[in-house]
Amino acid sequence: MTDYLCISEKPTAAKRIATALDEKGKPKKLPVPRNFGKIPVWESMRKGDRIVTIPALGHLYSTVEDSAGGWHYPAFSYKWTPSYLANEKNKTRPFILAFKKFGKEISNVIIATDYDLEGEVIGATIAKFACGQDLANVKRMRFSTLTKSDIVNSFEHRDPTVNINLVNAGFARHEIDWLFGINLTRALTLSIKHATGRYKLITTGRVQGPTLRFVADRERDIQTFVPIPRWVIDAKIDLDGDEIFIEYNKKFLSSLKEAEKVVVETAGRDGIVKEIGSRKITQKPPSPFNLGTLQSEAYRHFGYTPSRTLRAAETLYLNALISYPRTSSQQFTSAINHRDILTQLTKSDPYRIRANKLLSKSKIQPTFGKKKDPAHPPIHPTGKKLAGNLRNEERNLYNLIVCRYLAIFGEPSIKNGLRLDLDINGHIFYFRGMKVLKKGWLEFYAPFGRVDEVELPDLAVGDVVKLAYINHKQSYTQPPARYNPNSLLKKMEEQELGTKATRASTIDILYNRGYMEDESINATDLGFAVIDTLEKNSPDIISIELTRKLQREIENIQTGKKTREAVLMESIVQLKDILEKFHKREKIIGITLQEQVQNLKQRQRILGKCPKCKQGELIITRSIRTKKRFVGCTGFYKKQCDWSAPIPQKGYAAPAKKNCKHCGFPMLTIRRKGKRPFTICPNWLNCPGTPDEVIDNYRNNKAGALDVFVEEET
Amino acid sequence: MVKCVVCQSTIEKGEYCDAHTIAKNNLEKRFSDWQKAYEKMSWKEYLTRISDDADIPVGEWAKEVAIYLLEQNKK
Ligand SMILES: [Zn+2]
Ligand SMILES: [Zn+2]
Ligand SMILES: [Zn+2]
Repeated sequence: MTDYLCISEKPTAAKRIATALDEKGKPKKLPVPRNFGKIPVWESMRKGDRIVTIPALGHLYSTVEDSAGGWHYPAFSYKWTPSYLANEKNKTRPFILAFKKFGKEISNVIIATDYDLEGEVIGATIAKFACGQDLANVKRMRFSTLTKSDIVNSFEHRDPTVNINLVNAGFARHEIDWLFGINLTRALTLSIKHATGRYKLITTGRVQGPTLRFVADRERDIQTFVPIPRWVIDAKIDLDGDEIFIEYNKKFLSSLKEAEKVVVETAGRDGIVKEIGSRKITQKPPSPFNLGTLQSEAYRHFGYTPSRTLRAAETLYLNALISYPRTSSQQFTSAINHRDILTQLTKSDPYRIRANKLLSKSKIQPTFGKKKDPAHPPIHPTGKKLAGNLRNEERNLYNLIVCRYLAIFGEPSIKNGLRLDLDINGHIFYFRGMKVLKKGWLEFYAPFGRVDEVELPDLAVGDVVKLAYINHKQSYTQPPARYNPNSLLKKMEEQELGTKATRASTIDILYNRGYMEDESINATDLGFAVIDTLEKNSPDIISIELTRKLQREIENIQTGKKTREAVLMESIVQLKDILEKFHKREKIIGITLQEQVQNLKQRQRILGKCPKCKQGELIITRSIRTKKRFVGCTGFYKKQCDWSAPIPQKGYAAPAKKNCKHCGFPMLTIRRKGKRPFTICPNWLNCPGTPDEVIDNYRNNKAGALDVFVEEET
Repeated sequence: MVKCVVCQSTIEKGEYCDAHTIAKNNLEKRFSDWQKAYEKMSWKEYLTRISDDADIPVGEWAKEVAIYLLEQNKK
């Protein structure tokens, strides 16, 4: 009889592992001392051996500065310490106590965390620091699903040692992130402190900086954008009383004259069907899901952000419903028995017919994409039946994953693209249709791969149709679109920034730190100021190349081409160089950063000097309590002036940069979509230029009283 | 050290800060497209349209430069 200690990543996973390994499927919950809290320690019996499984709660250890302290940089020395010591709010002490207690009693330690960089670090730190093990003696269970058969199999065929390269790469990534994060954050924050005496914490990191830069660059493109005018032709034909849109053969016309010419030459004339063409479009089935493509499809179909999708996928994984989601693989290996999984899926109503249809094929062959991942297969269902304890988004995601999995075994789909060409006095207009000839994989991906079929009207070449309406419409070239969480994640992927495991959380951090906001991502003033200042003064900090290079070095440790020590030394040399250059320009960085943070914010709000106190400035601001927008004097904060006035709530308010001709107050401009901007006097309550009616309406609490005022000012 | 003529932020040299320099270049670059589109259009008409017409998807910083240039024009 042998005793084993099994290190799991999370309580849910620990319970699954313990249940799978226990011959009767009923592991015993071992009693633990009171101060361990409610931490579950499981005992499973298997072929006379005893396996004790204890969960972690993600990372139990973290990197901290190893020095006498002081908030300075450079800070190059660090140590690993229990996370609960590094951070008071961290509640993981009982977990470490449990590992220490059982680590003393049991010498055969097996790491059964998720098989990737993070999982390896979680397992290795516990084995090393809590159980006092030499990593060369620690065994490794590797699995891609939490199903019973995978767990048992990975226990019986466990690796004789942990993957030491993977451990070192994981350690190095933590250490490099820590080095860059702490030093750059301190450098930025201290630059403001030294230059202006003010304290404002400005955080950044190895991946955060370059990611924010994408957003800031886009913001700059949008804010400096000047469009080009263009025109579109709006046209409809009359078909037995139905008006149907047709498109002009040129989508945009670049001059008003050209647009007018088309309208003049076609208005009131009939069209003749000149040609009806068709084109076969074959579309191959999609590749299996990896995390990136799953996040992207979940955003498209359900609007879930990448981090929300990852969380939901993780729950599905912990419920043994799908395979490990943090994978970049798009290629299945022969190790996975698709016939088995499909057979399991026939037991679920929504998938029965489709799974049976695939099983009836003589060959079941999945598609594959370009990306490989030696650690895990593409995301796929395990075949286990859906239980009732899932939330809506988890169900949605599960359905998407199963449908995608079914679709990868489908045949190509064939569509017929149709086009009817209409000649109106020498001008060609199109009507487009679409017909599905063979559904192929689309049938299996339903409801996700839907195509909208459009019938062509019942017309033949030579038929004459009546033009019902034609006109030209002013339009403009459009600024580039803002990023959304999904397109930003894709951009990071494309630029090899971060890893599949960390990208979504980097995006969350940038939101939480106030560097960007909204679903359609805006760089905030703060975010823009940081990037703008660094671009000019310390471009290496936000350099994509540097981040990518460090990423490659970490991969080199993983593949055994470089040692952890060598890569760390190189990073420190690089960081030192950045910090030295930064320090030389510290003063200008500090001044501009502080000024930008202040200035950008203010210049969108300051109307001008306050005529009442002649000291403060009138600003557009919002009441913290009512959230209503009003104009007030900055003297209010110094208790010197209390001038304030209500203003219209709708539309975008900005300084008008001119003064009221009646009372001399600096004015503001309100812009509303589709309307001309209006300039109003903030002193309207006392301004001789205000019509009496507005004041009456306002005093009588009439809703929209100020809106009337705005309308009438024109 | 000098200040940007549009936004008053501190710059090392020149008239415009980086953001407003890009915006000003874009305004100048696009003028010929606008002239072609409407056959004839003066610089002043162009700037007025850019700064007044809320339907035009012009960036805020470009608009700020247009307003500044118009005011310079008046003087
Ligand atoms: Zn005042
Ligand atoms: Zn007034
Ligand atoms: Zn400026």
